[in-house]
Amino acid sequence: MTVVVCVKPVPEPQAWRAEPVDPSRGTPRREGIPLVLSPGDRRAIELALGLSAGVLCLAMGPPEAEAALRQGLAVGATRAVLVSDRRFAGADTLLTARVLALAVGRLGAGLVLCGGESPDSGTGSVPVQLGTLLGWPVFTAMYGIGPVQGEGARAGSGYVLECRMESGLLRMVVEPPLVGALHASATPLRSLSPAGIVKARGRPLEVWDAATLGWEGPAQPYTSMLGWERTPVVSQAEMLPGDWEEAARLLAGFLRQAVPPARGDGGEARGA
Amino acid sequence: MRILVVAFWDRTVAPESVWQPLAALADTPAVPCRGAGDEAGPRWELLLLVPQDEAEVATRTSWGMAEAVVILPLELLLYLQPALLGRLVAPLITSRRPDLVLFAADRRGGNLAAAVAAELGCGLCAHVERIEAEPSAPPGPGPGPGLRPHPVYLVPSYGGLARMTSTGAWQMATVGTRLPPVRAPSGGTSTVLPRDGAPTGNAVTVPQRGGTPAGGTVQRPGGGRTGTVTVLAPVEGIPGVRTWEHLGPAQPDALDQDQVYPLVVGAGWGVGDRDGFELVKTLARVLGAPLVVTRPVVDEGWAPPELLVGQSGKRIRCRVYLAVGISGDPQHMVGVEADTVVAVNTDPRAPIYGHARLGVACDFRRLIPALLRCLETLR
Repeated sequence: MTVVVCVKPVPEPQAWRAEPVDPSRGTPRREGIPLVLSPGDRRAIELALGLSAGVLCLAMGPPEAEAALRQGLAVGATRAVLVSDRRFAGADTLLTARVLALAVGRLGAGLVLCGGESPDSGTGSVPVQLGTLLGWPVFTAMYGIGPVQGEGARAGSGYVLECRMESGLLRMVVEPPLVGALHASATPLRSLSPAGIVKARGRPLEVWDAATLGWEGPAQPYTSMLGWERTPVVSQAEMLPGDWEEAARLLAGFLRQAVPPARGDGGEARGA
Repeated sequence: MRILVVAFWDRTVAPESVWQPLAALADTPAVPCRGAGDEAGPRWELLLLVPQDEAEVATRTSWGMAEAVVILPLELLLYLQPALLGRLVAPLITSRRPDLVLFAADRRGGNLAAAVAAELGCGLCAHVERIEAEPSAPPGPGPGPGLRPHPVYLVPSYGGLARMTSTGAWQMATVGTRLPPVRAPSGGTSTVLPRDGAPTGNAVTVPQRGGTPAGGTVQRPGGGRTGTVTVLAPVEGIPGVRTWEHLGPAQPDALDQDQVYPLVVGAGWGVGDRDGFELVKTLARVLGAPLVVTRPVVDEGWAPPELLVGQSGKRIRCRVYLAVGISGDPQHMVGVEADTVVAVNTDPRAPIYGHARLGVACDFRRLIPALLRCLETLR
């Protein structure tokens, strides 16, 4: 059984910070900015590898997103599919979810894991919308998943899911198909290793276009950006002068003046 | 214009707080997006999702300016199932034909909004900070009266603010949680239920999975009030879940969101690696201050998610916020309420300096050891 992990190739955060959006098109700037796998997606791959030897990374994005999928293969995924078509450029969450739902249907998968909120926009909407469109249950804030064992296993296929609700932690035995979106605490990250990167070169990466999915006609996003502006930085900060020794001395004085090291400090509520 | 607020509520939550999403509109002199031919001001409605055993408490609660309150009682486990909730809530929204639907931008509200948007095939603007009118944008094509001018949603995005527009039949937004306190808009009518008011009215239905309708009752309060409270039949039975058990509460919060701390230390991605993070952690410990982090620090696995502050985490209040290696993106800063921000960041153009009163533009790896030595001598 193949587990599909939907990944979102995100711009390398250090690279896009300076000029993140193309003002003429109102879309995130892509040229010259590498796309990488977000840490949440790496966690999802990690969990999927604990369930199945067959883990497929699925993403929608421009051709450059291949690099992010290669990272997915390097941390253990066995196959990758990139859905890439100019028609899907500027897609919002719902259009993305529609495209991914078609791809998941084509792959015939019964378990889809997603990395939760991405570091670039972080709404966490796509997993929920994907499950909604597929008509599958969606479990969010998941931090663990494993096969059902013992008595439960005889009742049929299923997974033990652990989720973090507002009211506490919950363990469930659930039946596929389902979409699981991870909580940030899900599992430690596996680092990219040189050996993994070499192995990834031999693993298959397919590129599908809209026609492969049977998508006909144009694709309109449901939300669009009319404009974007950097929140202007009007610094009124008093910059501490001197080298770090001098700065440290002044800062220590400020902090101790603002927050004296009195007993009970740091623990008592004060008026706003 | 009809504005529907969809909110989760239980008895531990102050009833006024369900109106928090309206704060996106409260700063504007008048609600900017009026329905065509609607000069009477906005009308507010509330769709409340409440735990099954608290539905009655909800009916006895005053919901302020709501003209109509619809209460949907839920089994606990349903809170984990946004797709199913979306299927339940979507027809309730379309039946009320609101011009604008607002959800809180917390995890539950955001997930529900996403599912509803997918059910209804309409756009969703998430984490909206403000809603404005855009005369040049086309009116909404939906079945409602059609909004003129079209609403434009201001959303923190890529370190700035994006102006978003949404298509589809319904206008929906989730609204950020760090907004000014809500001023009750005028024009609504307060709903107060008599304590023992006998329910009367028409039956309503809730579509359930598989299309099985469940009955419900419309209650009309007495005392000459014009508001209505509708309690729908509770939803039971969770598809796909064979068994479930509570494992107890999650790890208790280290941060008290109601407290005003004298000092909080924040670490951002600029700390570079785990060693850098540990250095900031040591500083926080020596200062006796809580430590909080930005999202990338959690993503990298350097800090547990409980310490996350910002759009997808918690909110903190403090007198002094010492921000180390934090760029100052709105996604983090929306969660920080501080009298004074002290920034330690080598990039003098970093947005954090727009918040800071005091800045140190030198390498924190050199600064913090020196700072620790100075603090030692000041003991």
